[in-house]
Amino acid sequence: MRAITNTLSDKELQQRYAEFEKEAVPHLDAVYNFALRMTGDEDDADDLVQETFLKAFRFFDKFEKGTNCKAWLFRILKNSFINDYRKTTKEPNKVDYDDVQNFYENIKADEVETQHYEEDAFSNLLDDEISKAISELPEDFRTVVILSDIEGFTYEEIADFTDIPVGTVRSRLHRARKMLYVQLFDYAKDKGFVKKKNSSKKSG
Amino acid sequence: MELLEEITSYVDEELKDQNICCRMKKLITDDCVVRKEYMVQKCMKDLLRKRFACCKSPSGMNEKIFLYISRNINN
Repeated sequence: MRAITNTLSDKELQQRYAEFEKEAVPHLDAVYNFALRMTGDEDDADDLVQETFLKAFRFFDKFEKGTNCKAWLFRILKNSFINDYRKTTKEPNKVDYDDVQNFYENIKADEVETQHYEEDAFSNLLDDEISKAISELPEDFRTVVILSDIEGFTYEEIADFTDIPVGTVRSRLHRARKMLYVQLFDYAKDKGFVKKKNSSKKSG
Repeated sequence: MELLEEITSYVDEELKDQNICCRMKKLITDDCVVRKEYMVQKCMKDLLRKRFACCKSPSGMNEKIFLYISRNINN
């Protein structure tokens, strides 16, 4: 990365700090939250956020004022995650879409007792258990569910910074929530928060 | 758009066409399969939004970032 201090005077640099603090820093919590959900580790999230903000600062002249700074930061974070973080930690999760599709197709109504749709069944689950279920989703599915349900981005915004069509965002979101539901339902059942409808049907 | 994915769009208030919205409302009331899908999608969305939407960054992170920027800006 180039050194911007060679091209900016002290005054300009100070001005950039001030503008950056005003535009980008208010989104720190959201960026950290996204990093935490993507990496599943506080230290890794910390590093990823610092890298993201350093890159954002370096290229702050490329940011168009008046546009969505949060989305811009998220795009940088997502790219950093793919190009830097994931490369140095482990091989990216290869998503076998056929497997996901099969998994999804196999979620039959009788396997998931959906009379417990209400959040009551999940209200006793710990945040850690929900976090674990999120982190176990394939990365592409995890990304859309975080961006939509936790960060509140629209389909169009998600499509924009993940470089996938809106239809794919919608479809991944649908499947991600379904997978999450099955996973959380299992946790809730194991903990006794929900009872199996016909426990006798197993035997025989 | 498949019906199941249409349900997702409805949950996310991404359906722009009011006619489709009305049709979806009716289907949720009348069709138990559609209702089930709707409830699963909505339940997960609400759960995540309530539990995780307000996660704070660690204290001092702001200062740490500016320190990191000033240290690395010449590299």
